[in-house]
Amino acid sequence: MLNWFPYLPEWVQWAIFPLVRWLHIVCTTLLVGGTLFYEFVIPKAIEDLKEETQLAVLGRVRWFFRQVVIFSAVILILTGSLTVYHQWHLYNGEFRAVMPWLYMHLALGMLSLLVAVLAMIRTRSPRQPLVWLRINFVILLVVIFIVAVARQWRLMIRDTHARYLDNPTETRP
Amino acid sequence: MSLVQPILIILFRWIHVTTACVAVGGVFFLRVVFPIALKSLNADAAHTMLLRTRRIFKMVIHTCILLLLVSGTYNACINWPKYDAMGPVGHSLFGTHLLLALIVFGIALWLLIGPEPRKDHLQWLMITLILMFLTIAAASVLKYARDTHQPQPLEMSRQ
Repeated sequence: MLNWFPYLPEWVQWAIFPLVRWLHIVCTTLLVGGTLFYEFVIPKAIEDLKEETQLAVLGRVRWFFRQVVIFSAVILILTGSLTVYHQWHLYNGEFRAVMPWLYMHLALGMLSLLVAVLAMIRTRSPRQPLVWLRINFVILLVVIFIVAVARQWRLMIRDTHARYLDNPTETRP
Repeated sequence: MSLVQPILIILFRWIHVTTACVAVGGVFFLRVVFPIALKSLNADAAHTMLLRTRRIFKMVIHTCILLLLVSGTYNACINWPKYDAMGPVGHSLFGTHLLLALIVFGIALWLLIGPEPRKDHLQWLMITLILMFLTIAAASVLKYARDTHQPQPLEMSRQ
């Protein structure tokens, strides 16, 4: 059921896809956990410091976190594209009902990456928490929820299909 | 299958992934990003900020460990027949994932004991981060092996 890359030996195929999945999850952790810390934890930790000290801390954190966000966004798009290619058959044919969830995951995922990158590359004072990043944190959680729904639905279709292979005389609903 | 079980599966899976994201991202932030921010402060202010952040981080990580244990136990119970069907590969990958996760929990809990951080806490945070990445790698391979393992139809398996 999986879409293999042409001209690549089998052991490379077997290595690529878990690696791609691992990179996708690791970059998601950096983005989600990083956003949570940047927007919710660091402002709490520095609230007793003097204003210019707060600005210095936030400025340095922002400078480094910007690179993390851009790196994660690029890797997420690359690994996401590879995964869509890999699992294309699992969203077509009898799995076609799952396709809208894939599109929702793609659309909201791209939106959240766009918001994250735009919020980080804007040249403005980092003193105030960025409301857009807080909204983005919620969007990221929704994106993860959508992919969990898509996966469960796909597995349910696959299990139903396997059950009818066991009992061919049983009529499908 | 009733509708309740798929909803629970989705809910626990979502909790497991988002909690892992918060925990791993938090450790990454604390180990990699945070020390850069502390460089702009004098020693006293840096120490105060470290203690405040550590206190918030402790609350976050303790909640994460609880949620990961609850959701992980549920996921393991649900997927256990699949690991049985996969044979030694399934159980060895699941065992690796579980063992690494328990080591990470142990180190995290030990590191956050007491009001003051250990002198070598940055090294331990790096070890925790690497182990977390390895835990995710074990989970990725396990999920891949589970997804690509085809359930054998009865007629085929009898032949």
